[in-house]
Amino acid sequence: MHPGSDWTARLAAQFNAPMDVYAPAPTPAPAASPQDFSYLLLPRHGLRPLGFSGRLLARVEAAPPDLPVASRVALHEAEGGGFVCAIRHRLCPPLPPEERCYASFAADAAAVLGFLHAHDPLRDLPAGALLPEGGEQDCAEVLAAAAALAPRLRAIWRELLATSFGPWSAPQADLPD
Amino acid sequence: MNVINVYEPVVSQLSELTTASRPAPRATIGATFTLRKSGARPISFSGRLLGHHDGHRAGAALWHELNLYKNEDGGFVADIRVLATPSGTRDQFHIAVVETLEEALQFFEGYDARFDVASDIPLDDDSLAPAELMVHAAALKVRVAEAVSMYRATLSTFLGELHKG
Amino acid sequence: MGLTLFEPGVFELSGLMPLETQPPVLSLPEPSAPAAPAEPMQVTLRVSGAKPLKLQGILLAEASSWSPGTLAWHEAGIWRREGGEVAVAIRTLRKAAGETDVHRAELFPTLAEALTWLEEFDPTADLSVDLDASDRRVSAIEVALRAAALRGRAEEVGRQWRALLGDMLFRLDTAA
Repeated sequence: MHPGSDWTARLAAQFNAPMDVYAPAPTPAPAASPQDFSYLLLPRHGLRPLGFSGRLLARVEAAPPDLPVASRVALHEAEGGGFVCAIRHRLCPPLPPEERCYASFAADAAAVLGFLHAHDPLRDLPAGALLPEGGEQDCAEVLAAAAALAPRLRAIWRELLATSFGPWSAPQADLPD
Repeated sequence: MNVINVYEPVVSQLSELTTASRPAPRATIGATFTLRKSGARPISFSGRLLGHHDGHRAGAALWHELNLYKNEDGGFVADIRVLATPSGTRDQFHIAVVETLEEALQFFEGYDARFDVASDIPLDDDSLAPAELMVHAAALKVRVAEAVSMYRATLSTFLGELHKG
Repeated sequence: MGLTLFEPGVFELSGLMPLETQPPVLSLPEPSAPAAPAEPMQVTLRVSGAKPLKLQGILLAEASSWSPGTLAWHEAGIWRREGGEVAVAIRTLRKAAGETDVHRAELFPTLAEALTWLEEFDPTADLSVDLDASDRRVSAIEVALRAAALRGRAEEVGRQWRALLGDMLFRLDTAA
């Protein structure tokens, strides 16, 4: 049996489940024949882009209006087997339009989840990403608010993974904090 | 236009990916370039510019400009420019003259932007209070992380454009 | 490799103007007699701990890595003698208390050899290390801080030197 086919079927079923209101409904790809594979190029932070023949299985976004970062996860099926997982974080206005992209081939579902759960969305963000615009506020308050954003961003990320990838969300290893 | 493959291919164990065959590069007579190289005599060669990206962002004190050239002798020249405001004294130019595209990409990917940041902590100043020193140290740590993060973002954009170009 | 790197023959061009990099902040030796830039001038280059190098030559390039606030920097100059030999001078200027400048100068048969000497020069060679790690009166923390400061200063001096050299040799190349 094709290693990914059962999982992709369960994934499609999962994506039809109701989502929390802050995340737009994920868009599972329509059922497609193998001829739908096409050449894809995924950018990666600090590396040459990842190129492969594949097709989009599902895409999830989390963009809470009060957070400075919008995150997106895209899962692809690679022609010939396996998956390619792509992550994109984008700074929201009024911050400058910076993006941080990551992508990785994963042979099976466990590897996909391992990649996603090991990822820290804050790791490469520009230094000022958590600081609010405007300088009128009290310095201590500004720093406290910025410091409080970090765990919220990480929590949103974990929630995105949990909601999208359902019962298989957490591998055995500890989650980053 | 020459098509350049800069991506990392995903090769599945279960089947072989066949990449579309790319046309062989045409032999063209290119311009002559002379590139500044920090700490050394400049590098001169004939060839063409394959890709260029300026990673400057508004307000940035330090940024990188990347260039990749095709050398007429068949190799490549990779150029990393470290630019800073105020301009002039602090600019650094790193050049690699290599035979293959893979070596050029490894040069770009392996570049360590931490060394572009100069420490401005006056460690010899005995009048500095420990609290001040902590602020300096924290700020320096952020600048180093920022230099690395911005270089990598610049590199991603550069390589993505290179492939599409 | 097949690249055309910097060739010495390019300096057979007549009328080569000396390249100005800085206003007379430069402390490189003045010619003993005023001369038109294209004319050879009498040059005396100091050498620390040795006899000075004297020659009649044309100034090809000079540069300084001074920047505001720095206590140690370099100046370099390249001259061509009428016979074709090339003289290079490097001066390490050190303005911290108790320190003096260090002068180096050499004569080479070709420009390529002179440039190799410049490229191989270690700009941190003259930086003083006022650190005695075995002095028990100084705490280990202070030793570590002093070492970090020295390391930072050495890296900065190195960066400034490499910028100076790359810039000077680039202007030398493209002026030809």
